[in-house]
Amino acid sequence: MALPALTGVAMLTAILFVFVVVPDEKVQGVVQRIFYFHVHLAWMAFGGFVFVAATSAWYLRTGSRVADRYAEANAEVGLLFTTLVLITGPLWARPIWGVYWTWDPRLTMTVVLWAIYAAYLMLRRLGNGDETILRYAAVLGIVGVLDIPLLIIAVRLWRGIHPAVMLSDDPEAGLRDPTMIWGVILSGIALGLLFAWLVSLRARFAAIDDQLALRALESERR
Amino acid sequence: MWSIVRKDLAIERRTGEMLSSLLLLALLVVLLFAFSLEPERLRGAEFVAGILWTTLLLAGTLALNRSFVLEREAGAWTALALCPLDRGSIYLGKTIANLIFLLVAAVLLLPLLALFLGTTGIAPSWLLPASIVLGTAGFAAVGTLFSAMASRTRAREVLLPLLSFPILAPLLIAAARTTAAGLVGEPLEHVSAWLVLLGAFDLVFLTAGWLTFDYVLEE
Amino acid sequence: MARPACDGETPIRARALRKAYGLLPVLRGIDLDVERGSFVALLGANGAGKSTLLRLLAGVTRASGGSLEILGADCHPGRPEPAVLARIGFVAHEPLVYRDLTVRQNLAFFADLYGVGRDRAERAARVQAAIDSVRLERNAERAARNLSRGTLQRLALARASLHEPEILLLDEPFAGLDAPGRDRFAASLENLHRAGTTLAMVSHDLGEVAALATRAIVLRDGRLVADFSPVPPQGELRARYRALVDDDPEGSQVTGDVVDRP
Repeated sequence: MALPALTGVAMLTAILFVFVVVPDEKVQGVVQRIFYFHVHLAWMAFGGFVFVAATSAWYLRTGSRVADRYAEANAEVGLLFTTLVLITGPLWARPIWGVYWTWDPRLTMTVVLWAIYAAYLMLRRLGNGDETILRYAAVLGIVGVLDIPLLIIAVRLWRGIHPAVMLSDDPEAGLRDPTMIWGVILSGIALGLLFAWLVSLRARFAAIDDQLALRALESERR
Repeated sequence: MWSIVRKDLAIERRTGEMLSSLLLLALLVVLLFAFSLEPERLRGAEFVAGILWTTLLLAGTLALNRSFVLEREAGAWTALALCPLDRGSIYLGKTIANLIFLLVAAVLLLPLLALFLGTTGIAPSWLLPASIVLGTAGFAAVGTLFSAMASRTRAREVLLPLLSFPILAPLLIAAARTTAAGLVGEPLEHVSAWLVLLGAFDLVFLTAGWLTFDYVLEE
Repeated sequence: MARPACDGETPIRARALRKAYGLLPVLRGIDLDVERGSFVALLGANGAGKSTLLRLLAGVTRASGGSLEILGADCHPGRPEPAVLARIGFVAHEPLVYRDLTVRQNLAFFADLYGVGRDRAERAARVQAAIDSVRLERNAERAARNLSRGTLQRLALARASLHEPEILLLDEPFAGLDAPGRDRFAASLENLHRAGTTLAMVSHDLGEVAALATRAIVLRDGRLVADFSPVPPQGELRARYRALVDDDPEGSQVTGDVVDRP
């Protein structure tokens, strides 16, 4: 029960910092604050997808139900975070770039990743707990991660204008104020905890679901 | 491995289903492009290459579905699982057979496209066949693996494109660029990175399919 | 091989063998030794786990627990070695062939995969011999799609015995066959049995079981509940089987539901 409490405290602190303590960034103004969440959300989601691959490999090796539940939980929360990235990105892009969407490499990559893991969850849903389909999903979980580096290279070669907010040439722009660094760190910790908490919650939910299904099967036999 | 390729080709010789449906579908997709966009504006190598690969992916996915429906019918799938051979070879055999179908389709489709779109200034170089072989190989590698998986589910017609299109995104980008370059005889330096990417894609997914097929074939 | 005794006289040995599909347990601990050259029938109601046991023995599916030795090789966990698979044949309810290929093309393909014969000529001869052995000469060049159920089933037997397996597994081979078809199929099985093949057959047909099998085991709810060796005559087998499967909860539940519920 420590995890939800900790997540709550960290989240509140991060929100306080990002919206109250931290000053406006010189060049972009108030909209830049969205980056304290946007960037971390993206990294957490990608980390989640790597976990999907790791737990999928574990599931294929051992057939462990726990591994499979964690693969599903990471994919779902990862997809949720990717969705949030795709919402916060355009919100920022409209005032700064003047458009909601542009075929920038990272945007493109994120939307393709979103599609891969939406398909992954769709496959699981269609399988309806069938063991063979769970194994297929595990194969997809591994193959999906293999696609990421290729995708990164492809979209980079294709085009590129993503903002390097933290490494601007302008001495006045970027994260000048020390509280800004704290904002980055605190929101990172808060979102990391949130991710972990959601995953553990989702995995526990799946475990309960398994138990219910097992009980239904047993009463059917009797 | 080669016996599986020969078997698939033998089935195709008897029925002709795979290639005829693939080609007919491809032709229709090209017509859809012409009707929905202004055909006069689709000139130029990028359009020929882009439409070629989009068409191949759309028609190819539908045709690849057949590849394992064929194995599921009458339980031939189980018979394969019973055979004393390494399951990676079953995957490679099926992939090579599918690659042959896709290559034939691509080779027939390309001149047709150039003709329909009346493209001028075409000066093909060796990059053209290279891009087509590397591109269809990666498509076959991914498509075969997923077609085996999709054939088991009730929504297989939808599932195969759903699974394969996002994974194929890097391949599509790279294949369309290199084919366009190959059509107009651009020098290799312009697209060498793309070619390497195509090769890497093929290598990664052929290996992945070969290693994971054991888990796919098992009941 | 690690344990030559097992390979020699007991080609199949299962200990506490378990299998679950997802959460659903299908086999709940099977102990079974099958002797070389015997003809074992697997009996039981639908869902008792007969077909699952057969599929485990064939190596198409993996056990969830316990141990399984086939022809002296450990087959759990993981799947049997190709060398072991090459000595097993399997006839399922479905014919397991390609509908679009002819009888000869089908057999030639599987002969290829099993590495039957040392060269092309020998392989072709073995395929011809397999066609002759199940009397498919007249249909050899027809596509499997156009064959009757009985003919398909004989093709399935030819496919499964093409590589002269030491163990032949059969899943309800008589289902859907007419009387002459059954007789012809039974005769082919007897030939294989006489030639020393170890056979295991799932069947609902107690008449065929009494006539062919040397041993019959009964599964209920994923457990082995009876073992008849030798198999008693048909009438007695039927009576004793009914006694076992009648207190099966699935059998009694149906009538109970119809009568009692308002």
